[in-house]
Amino acid sequence: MFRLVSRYIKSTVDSEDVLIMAFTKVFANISSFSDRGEGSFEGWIRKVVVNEALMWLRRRHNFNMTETLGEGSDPVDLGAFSGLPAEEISRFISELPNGYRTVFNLFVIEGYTHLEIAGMLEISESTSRTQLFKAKTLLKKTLTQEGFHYGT
Amino acid sequence: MEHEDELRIREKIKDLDHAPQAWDKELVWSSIRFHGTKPARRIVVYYAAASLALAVAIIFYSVELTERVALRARISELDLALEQTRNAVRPKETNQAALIAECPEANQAPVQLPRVAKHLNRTEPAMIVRGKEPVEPNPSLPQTEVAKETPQTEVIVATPIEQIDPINEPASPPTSLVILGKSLTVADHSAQKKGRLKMRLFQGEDDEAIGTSSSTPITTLASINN
Repeated sequence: MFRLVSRYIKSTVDSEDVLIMAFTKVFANISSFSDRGEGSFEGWIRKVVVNEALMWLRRRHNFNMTETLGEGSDPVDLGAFSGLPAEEISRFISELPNGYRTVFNLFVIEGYTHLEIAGMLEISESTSRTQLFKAKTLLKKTLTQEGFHYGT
Repeated sequence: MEHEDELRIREKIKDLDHAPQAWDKELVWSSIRFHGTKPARRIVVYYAAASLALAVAIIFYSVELTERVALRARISELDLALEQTRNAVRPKETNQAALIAECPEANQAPVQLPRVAKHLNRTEPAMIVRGKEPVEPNPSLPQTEVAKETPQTEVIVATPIEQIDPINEPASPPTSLVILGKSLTVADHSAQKKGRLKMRLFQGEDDEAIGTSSSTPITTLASINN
């Protein structure tokens, strides 16, 4: 769970604080979890931790401060990026800005839709799409620069 | 293609999340102890500040209370001295009041004097007749001064035009007797006021000029006023 929080929040100290708050809520509301086939206990804890991290980010970051791109943007090829080791992928993701990183984590890693992300971050759906597109573009660009450095 | 890449990334990241994270247990425990003692220090500081503020407030209140007590004592002393002074002055005033009460004249009603009606006679000179009368020389004075001081005889013919009684004023304007001329006529005073240039001297239709009348008056002012 600490890795999960670290993907959303860069600072280790803040990640620990958020994790403590999340587990406090887990233990306080553990009676509300009911195993009725809606999901695993781990998934429930994961959702609580992600929500706590998002609450922490919403208090400190404005996700609406980005320009919206039009429709019809070319999809970004992440084939080379997905071929990297997990540690490298996690490091690249942690280098992204707050808005890009949060939307990328929610959409690609957690599997939420843009509509759900828009509701969670209190942004529009197009903003969520734009943030994801920019995150992928930046990852590809960073990967290219890293390959350039490795190549030289 | 894009969706497959995302799935691969998701799988890799989730596998990584399940891997244990290396952590420094001692550092975490020290951090927990530090966080546990830090609020205590803050609380101590807050308690100290609150105690100091309370002590200062009590000191200020006690000082103010002492000053108030001293001020009240001073006011009571002044009131006592003022009361004593009043008691010392009050017997004299009562003696004076008793003396005034015992005096019989002070109890009598003031004597009201009868109101005296003042009759003012206003006269208006109508004619001044001047003539020379032989004056007996004063042997004590020199001859030149006798000649100077020989007064001319002045006869003032006056007609009473108004007799004012301040209490009971007459309802009708007063009438006066014209004592010049050949005969006595009763003339209206208002007519005399309006046209002084023309005087009705005789009974008849034609007026007679003043210059042609006799210069000898019938009576004099002294005889009228007497």
